[in-house]
Amino acid sequence: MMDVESIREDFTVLKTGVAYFDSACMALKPRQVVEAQDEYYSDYPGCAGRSLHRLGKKTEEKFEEARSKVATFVSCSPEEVVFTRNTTEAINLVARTLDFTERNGVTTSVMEHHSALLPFMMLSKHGKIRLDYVAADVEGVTQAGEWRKKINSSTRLVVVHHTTNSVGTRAPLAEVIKAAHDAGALVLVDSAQGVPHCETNFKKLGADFMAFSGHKMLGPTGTGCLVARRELLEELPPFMTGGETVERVSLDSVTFLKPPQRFEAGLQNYAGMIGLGAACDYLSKVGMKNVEAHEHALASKLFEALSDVKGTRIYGPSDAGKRTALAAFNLGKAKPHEIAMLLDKTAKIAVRSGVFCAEPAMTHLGAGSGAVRASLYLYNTEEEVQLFGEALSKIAELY
Amino acid sequence: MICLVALAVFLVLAVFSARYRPLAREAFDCVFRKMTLRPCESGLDERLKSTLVASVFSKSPRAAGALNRNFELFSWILTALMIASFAYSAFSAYNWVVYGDCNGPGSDGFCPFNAIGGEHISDCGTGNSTSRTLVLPATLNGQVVGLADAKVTVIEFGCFECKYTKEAEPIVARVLEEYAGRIRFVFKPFPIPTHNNSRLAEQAALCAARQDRFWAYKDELFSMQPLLLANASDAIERAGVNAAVNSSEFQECMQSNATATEVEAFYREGMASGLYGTPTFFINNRTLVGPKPFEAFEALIEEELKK
Repeated sequence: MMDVESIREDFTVLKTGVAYFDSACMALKPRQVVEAQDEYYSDYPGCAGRSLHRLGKKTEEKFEEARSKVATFVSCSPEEVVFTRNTTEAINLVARTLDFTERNGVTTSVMEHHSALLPFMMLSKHGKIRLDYVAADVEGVTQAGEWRKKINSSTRLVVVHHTTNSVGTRAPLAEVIKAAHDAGALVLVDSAQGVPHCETNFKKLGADFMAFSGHKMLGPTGTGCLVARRELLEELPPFMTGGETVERVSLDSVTFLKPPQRFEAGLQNYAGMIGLGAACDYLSKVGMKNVEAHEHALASKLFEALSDVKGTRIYGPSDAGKRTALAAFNLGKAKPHEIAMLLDKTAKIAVRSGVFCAEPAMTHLGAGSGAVRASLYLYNTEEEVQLFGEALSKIAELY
Repeated sequence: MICLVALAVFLVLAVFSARYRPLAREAFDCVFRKMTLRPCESGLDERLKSTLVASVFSKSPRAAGALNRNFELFSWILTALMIASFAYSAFSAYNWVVYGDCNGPGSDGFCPFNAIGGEHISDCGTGNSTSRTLVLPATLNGQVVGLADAKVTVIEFGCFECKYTKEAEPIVARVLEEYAGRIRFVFKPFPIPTHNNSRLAEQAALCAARQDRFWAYKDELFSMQPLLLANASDAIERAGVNAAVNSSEFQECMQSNATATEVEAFYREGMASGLYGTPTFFINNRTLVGPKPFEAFEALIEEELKK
């Protein structure tokens, strides 16, 4: 069991009385992460991999230590971890570097985040790939059978979510990965909403690529990772070129570094990645099983609270077992932004409103004009959920 | 419609603070889109609505509910009020420019723009004159104090029933005190046509003057101006008693209308000077209209003294 009250002590912003229900967008940062970043700027603000002085060496040591921490956190080797700015950049890296000449099929679903859709929509628009979408059911769940129908011998890549950011539904990953591999296709898992909330074992998962962001898992903004099987990374050409990506350069030829440095062009976000390492430490110390159990308990309370409010329409699964601690809803004819602002102004509850960068998914669910999203994390409590329900009930009376 | 109100408000605020300029731009975009029958994309209307509803919510959830449900109507009412306010302001500005009185010619209303030192003032209007050009009175007839050969002569046309003339009294007293021995002051009782008992009060004051009790009587009459407006004969009588006027002579003067011709002469002189309200002051050939601050008198008198 985890001690939520003790955890909340680490999050300074919670002392202001805000009830933070927007972790699917941005997780709060514990003081340990902030301190780790501060330490870099205060004590050893050097360049990794190029400066031989003590500050440079310390930076490199800490930067690579952060890579190892991330690798341990998702169970892969450090060489398989490419640091990026966020999930979006990680997915773009795969989209821009993977060879689609022999097989050009890409299969994805309507439930994906724009970050997983747009890079491939652009490739499709330029005729470089053939893009196929898997439909979801009315609850926003993509069924394994539907994925199998869309994966075939021409499929080069399957892009699939771990958990949708719109309604928190999960894809049948094991079946999708098996179907893809059976067809000779690669699998890219968008785990932006997965890694922060579930114990993740990249090797056991069996995917070829996995992308996630640091800022959604207590880490600093501007941090993300692409985790990929080492042999695949070896095959990929550089994504961006410039400083750090190369071993030797003459005016006639370039020898690129081995992965993952090959993909990390220019001066890196050392402070951010060191902070991300601290976030991995923090979550590991709490225990991801504990985080999952806590969120599962909160999810039940969240849906109960929402169901008790007159006039709410909750999007996503009706089956409690399929729910995560994320709920998208609307309240009668009220505009989602109004609800979000009223929750903030009347009860200091921070929620997200809109289409959550997943417009096709929201349109599919019948919420093309948007919805309100409450997303919870390890620092939320049942009391906050109860307060949320009460505040929402009062707001419902305004309409 | 709330965006239209927001545009007006943010435009004014944007003049004074840069932080409101993006909001003004957003409001303009919102209004433009609404005018072209497109939805406001910035969500400014929703934000304003939520902010207002939330503010009311903390005080009365029921009122917040009513506001929320009828917000479009509320927005229309605000917009109508704003348009009416603009129209009224424009009309007032026109009056001020053309007549020197934001309430229009012949109005008794007060014009705030002039109260702190503008050239003209809305005050107790004459009802006839609409001209802003004031001409120095042809005579120095009136009640006079001060040096006969002073370099500066201050002439006041004042009405006993005019609240602005009364308002100017302490300022006039200070002027007389500060410039004692250096100026000549002439008070010309001027009956405002729209004031019912004005002419009677002026006659009474001139009757008191026949007993050399004008200044005392004038002070008494101004001090009981509310009574004068409500019951003129009572006020005229009481002022006489308080100013130690001989009652029988005073009564005789009043009953014989002995001073009516003088009052009429002051009225004609005032109209010939182009008076459009009281109090009107001539400081040599320069004018002040309304209860101006002492500093306004001081500036003009000092300049005239230096000449």
